Amino acid sequence: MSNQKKLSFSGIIFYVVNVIYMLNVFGILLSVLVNAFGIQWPNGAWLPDEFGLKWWEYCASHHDLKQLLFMTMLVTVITVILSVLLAYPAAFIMAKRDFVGKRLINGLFLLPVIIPPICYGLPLATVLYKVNLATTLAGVVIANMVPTVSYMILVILPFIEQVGDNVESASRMLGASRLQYFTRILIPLTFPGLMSAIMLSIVRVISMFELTFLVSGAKTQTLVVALFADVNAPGYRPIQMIDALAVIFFIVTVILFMISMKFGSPTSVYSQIGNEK
Amino acid sequence: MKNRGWSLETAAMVLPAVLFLIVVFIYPFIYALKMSFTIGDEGTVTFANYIRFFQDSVEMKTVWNTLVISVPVTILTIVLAVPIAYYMRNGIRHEKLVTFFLMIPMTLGVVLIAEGMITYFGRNGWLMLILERLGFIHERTGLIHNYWGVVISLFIQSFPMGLTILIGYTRGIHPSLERASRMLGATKSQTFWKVIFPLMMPGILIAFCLNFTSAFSVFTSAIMLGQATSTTRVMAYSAYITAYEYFDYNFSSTICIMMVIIQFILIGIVFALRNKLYKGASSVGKG
Repeated sequence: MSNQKKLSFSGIIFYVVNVIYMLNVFGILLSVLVNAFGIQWPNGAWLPDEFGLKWWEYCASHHDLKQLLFMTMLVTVITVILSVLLAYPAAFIMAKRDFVGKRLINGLFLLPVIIPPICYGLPLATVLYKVNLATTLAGVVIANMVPTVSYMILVILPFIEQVGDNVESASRMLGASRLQYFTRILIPLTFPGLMSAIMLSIVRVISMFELTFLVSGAKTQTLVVALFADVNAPGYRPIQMIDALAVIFFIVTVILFMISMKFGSPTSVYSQIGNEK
Repeated sequence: MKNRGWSLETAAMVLPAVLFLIVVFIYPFIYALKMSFTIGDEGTVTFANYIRFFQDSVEMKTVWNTLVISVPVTILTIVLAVPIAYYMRNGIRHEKLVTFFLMIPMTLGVVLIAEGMITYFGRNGWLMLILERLGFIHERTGLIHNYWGVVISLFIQSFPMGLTILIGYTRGIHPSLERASRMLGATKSQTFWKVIFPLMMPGILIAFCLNFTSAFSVFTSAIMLGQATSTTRVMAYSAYITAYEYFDYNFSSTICIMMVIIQFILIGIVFALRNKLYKGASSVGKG
């Protein structure tokens, strides 16, 4: 479109901000990695003196890593399965049916994605403590499901909207039952949307901190809560050991993130919120 | 043609999700509201908690701290994201790579980034070493455990979110509007300020609101990278500590409610300002 590529004002800001941003994020992640594998990092030096696995052994001996990973996976899988069971049918109705109070319900589904977790997390934790669900697996799952259900509805909705209305009429006319319409037609047609909702939610639940932190107990700690507790625990924890734990968390999240990028962009929801109003 | 009644199908499929959110999302707010008007386990309605909140100098300082952290971060995010979203309106080279890098901090979450910042932005971290070598600073002072650590961490988290929302808006503006404006003799900057910017306004407002609410409810990074007991004591931390260390759930609920109210007031002010400054350009203008 443009015939001459002169660097504009907005172009300069684009390059300067993005380069500074990326270099610093890259630096943050790399220093975690280097520090975790270094034995000792003298003050003011560019790199540690020698490298080794000392802090990894230390980390393994101070944390029940198996239990942490297992709990993280358990919470994530249960949360995502239960959320999809609630979200998919709701997304179908919101996409295809019109009814009294639809706008109100639409607002209800949007709120947990817009309101920051800590705002509803604190009241929710108080209620969960009152009914003795806090610190249990059920409590952690319930808390994590709040934003996940909403998020999934937002991700799946456009995929269902794309399926034409006449597909449903045709399948009914040809004698398919409602269940058959779902299992044979709708779910296969919206499979990419379903997968992207599931993958994106898995990544979100793993790195979602506040809600799990507020309701989890010693036995229901997940990786991210353990990481936070290590940094802020009373008593000295060597930063290298915390970095080792951070690397484990990083690897788990990035692998899942890469897989999820294959299915869809995590940003699609935010651009949708923007466009809806 | 369309039936607006509730069929059995509609109810059976949408109600589970609705009921779930009412029980675990709406009810806790109502419960917190009720708690904030009572003291202890007594059922009598009282404003004592709110009076205490406004008379407590520590809480007032907390509100101030939270604003001083969240408002600059939000403004900085928007000011930088608007030109960048404008630049990216027709797509850019290596867009996938850029998006990937921007998404990484959002994906990894605030805890991991904050943990990494302790090493990187610390007194002996790489950033300080580089700045010292380049001669920008004479003495290395870490950017963590103070106000700046919290601000930087918040910016890292909120910038991609603000940018994404704004890109959605700039991409929604039809390129023909820009071409028409240029063809009619407007300069590039005139086109931006008279055509593009007003059309971006709704997006800027949405981005401002979302970024502001998430910055205002800062919690994790205020603890990990600031001094949560003094200079970066923020409202979310205050509510948390009141409930979990002093076990005063009533006053903690009051702080929570006040946190939400203050957010609403600020968002209201922003919308009021917009209505005064920008009358007319309210349509999104999708071609």
